[in-house]
Amino acid sequence: MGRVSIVLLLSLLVWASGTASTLGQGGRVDITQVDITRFPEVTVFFRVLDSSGKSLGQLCCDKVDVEEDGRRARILQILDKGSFPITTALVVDCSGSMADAVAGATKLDAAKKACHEFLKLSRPTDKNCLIQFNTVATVVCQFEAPLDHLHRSVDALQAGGNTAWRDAVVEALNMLAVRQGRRSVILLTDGQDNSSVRSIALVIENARKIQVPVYAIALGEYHQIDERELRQLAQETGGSYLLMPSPAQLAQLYEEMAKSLQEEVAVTYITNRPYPDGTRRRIRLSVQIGSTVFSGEGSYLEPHVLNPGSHFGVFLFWLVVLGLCYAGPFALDAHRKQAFRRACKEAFREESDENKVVSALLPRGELVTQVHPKAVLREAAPRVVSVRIDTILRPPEGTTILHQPLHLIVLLDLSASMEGERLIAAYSAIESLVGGMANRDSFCLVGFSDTASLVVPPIRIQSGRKLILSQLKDLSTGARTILAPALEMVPSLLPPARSSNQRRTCAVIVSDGMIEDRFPALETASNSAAEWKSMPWASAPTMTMNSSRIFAVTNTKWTTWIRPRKRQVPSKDS
Amino acid sequence: MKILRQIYFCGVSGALGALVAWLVVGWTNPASWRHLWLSNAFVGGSLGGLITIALVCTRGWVQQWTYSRILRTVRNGFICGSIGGAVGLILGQVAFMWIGGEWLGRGVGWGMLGLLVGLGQSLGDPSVRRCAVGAGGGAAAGLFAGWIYEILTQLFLFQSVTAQLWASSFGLMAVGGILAAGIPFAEKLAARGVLVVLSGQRRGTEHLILDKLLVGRSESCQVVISDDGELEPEQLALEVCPEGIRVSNVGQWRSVLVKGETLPPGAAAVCPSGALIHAGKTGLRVL
Repeated sequence: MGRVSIVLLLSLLVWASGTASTLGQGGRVDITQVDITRFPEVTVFFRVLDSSGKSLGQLCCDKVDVEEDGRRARILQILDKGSFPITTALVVDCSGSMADAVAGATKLDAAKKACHEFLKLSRPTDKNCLIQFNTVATVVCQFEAPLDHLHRSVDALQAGGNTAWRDAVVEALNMLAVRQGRRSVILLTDGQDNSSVRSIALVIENARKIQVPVYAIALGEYHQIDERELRQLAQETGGSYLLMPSPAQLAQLYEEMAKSLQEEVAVTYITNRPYPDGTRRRIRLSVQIGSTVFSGEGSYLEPHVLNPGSHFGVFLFWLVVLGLCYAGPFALDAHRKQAFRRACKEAFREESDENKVVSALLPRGELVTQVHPKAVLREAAPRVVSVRIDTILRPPEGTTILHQPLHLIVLLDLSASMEGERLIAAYSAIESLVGGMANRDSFCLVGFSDTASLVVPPIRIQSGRKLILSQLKDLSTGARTILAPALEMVPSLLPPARSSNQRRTCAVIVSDGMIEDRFPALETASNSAAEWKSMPWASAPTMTMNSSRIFAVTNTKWTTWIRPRKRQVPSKDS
Repeated sequence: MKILRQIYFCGVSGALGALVAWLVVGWTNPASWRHLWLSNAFVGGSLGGLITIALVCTRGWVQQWTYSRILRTVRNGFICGSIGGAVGLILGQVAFMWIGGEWLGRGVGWGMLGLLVGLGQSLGDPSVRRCAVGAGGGAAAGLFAGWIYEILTQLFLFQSVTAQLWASSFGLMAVGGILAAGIPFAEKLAARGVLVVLSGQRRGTEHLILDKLLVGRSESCQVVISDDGELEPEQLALEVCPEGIRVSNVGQWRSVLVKGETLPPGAAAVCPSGALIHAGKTGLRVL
């Protein structure tokens, strides 16, 4: 008996302590429930306890202050004890084990007695319901049932079946969800749940959602019950967990609980943050009674994951921002392309200028074709420097080369790897070349990938400049890079024999250097003249080219193949 | 279009979808609804549906799908995304309440939404790997987005109603953008290879090879090349295999060139990274 008394005393102390409270000087405020069903109005239920943990009873608050997240809130009303109804769901275990006799009476009889005691203290404004559970949960009495009907229903409870306390608590929470004010669930069970459909997580989540504390009373020894789950349920919902090894003091405990609930005071305030922002908000409550100030802390969670809003102006602003985000990359692309084209043109213009200078050197036996400066291209488009330009020039006979018209044959790589910026670079190069040519010069373009095709037949610049540029825009890439067919076409594109002496011929190969199979020597050629001569196209009989120097630009380095040429000493006349 | 750029545009579109959802949700004001679950279902459904529509439209745009295919995928995506979003936010709310809100609660809450939205948008083109990657990417993106949202919430904690509007709109856009970019980003991380179209109208378009990729003129293919008349309705199948990418000619009568070698119908070859494939007039490269 002594042990039971100690346990009861400890249980009452646990009950009285509630949750989320702090000890103040000389006592404390115990926040038992926070009701946010009328958010942004928040109602806090609390008791004032003395230093020994006992309620101060009749409360006469001189001053109540509420702070939410450190900011004082505006109080709407303070309801002293007895001035607001209490809604309680009594959830009673009626499983088979409740018929077991302990000290001459069954557990169920003790539970019935306890419920009667609780109901006896109920005031007319209070609402109670009765839910029994064994294998399933059953609502025995609704909240609207009169008190005498509740007493009769308690008497009619019978033991039998399994235990489904989780389902019963969910049932109670569903009934409490549509009610406001101080609400609580008092659960009494003596066994482990073996029939519920719902999980403990769902039960806790339901209780948290409507901010209802669950007071769980376990009847029996700890190994016979779901102590861990019951304790978790009570702690997570702001209630209390009580272990009662013997049912003898159960009625007294229920009586104390009823009194304790009725001693609570309610304060309603308007939150400073009336937004459904899903944040946890800390409440600090200070109560001044006489000269003593009691304080306590609690919290509540505003349950919305999302803080919705609506303002068309804000919407339009973000719409414009997103529009810019869409357009930004394209504008950047356009800018980059423009810059790249400009850089290419600049580079080729420089080349054109260089050519004039270099052409003046021709009488001394130097024949140079300037390829666009690598650095400029690297800066403009770092991935495009693999554009490769091999230049083959036919040297003139005599010294009047500066005045000779030019016949330019461009062999343009249209393989898949040229797709994109490389091809743009090539177009720019060709545009630049054509732009720099004189009216009497002539031009033709051969595209090559799997096969070679004549894109622009030999045409005078004077009459065909627009045609050339328009043809350039209609080019489409193929797949592989096979140069031989294009080279084989070159002889047929040379100027007629009668005019070849007067017209210098220049063939420019524009490629990205990934020639696949036919000309491996082109990829590995060194400065050796022998190797140069071994190239099949260079020794082709129909191509009587007399090249002197070839520049190539590759990804990583400049490679120059030089075919030695017998230097001619300029005559005094020239 | 490059994969990273595709991801960027997916993110921007997701933000746009979320912004529209924010406006719609704000007009209906579900926060005042009595039933939290119904409110969550509506908000999650709107959010999931609109983000998925934005995501699918962007994919259709960057990969140059036909209009009929985009419309069909949008319809399926909206249904799957809405259901996924609704269920996701309900589960997210459960997790949020269970954890008790704050950083972890918010992250897990949005993570649940992301998981279901990722799963939902993957159902438009279902495969186990794609669904798993979509769900995983969505969940991770949702978790991250939840933290961003929580940071914004904490930053604007005591600000005015107007500031709350800006914060909530930006927060939701961040959630939408991160979710919509996170899902394709996860696919990029999980992809075993990339197929680049080198010629034709779709030149430059990149496609991730997650498990199997079908190339052809038919609308049923993942990579539809409708402008190449020399291509069969279903011409190539690229599959992930232990050696790399296996290319199979699934056409009926046309051969294709893989690394310069002819691949007759019914034959298959393993393709190393960088290999060129020529099917019809179209050049493709496997990276």
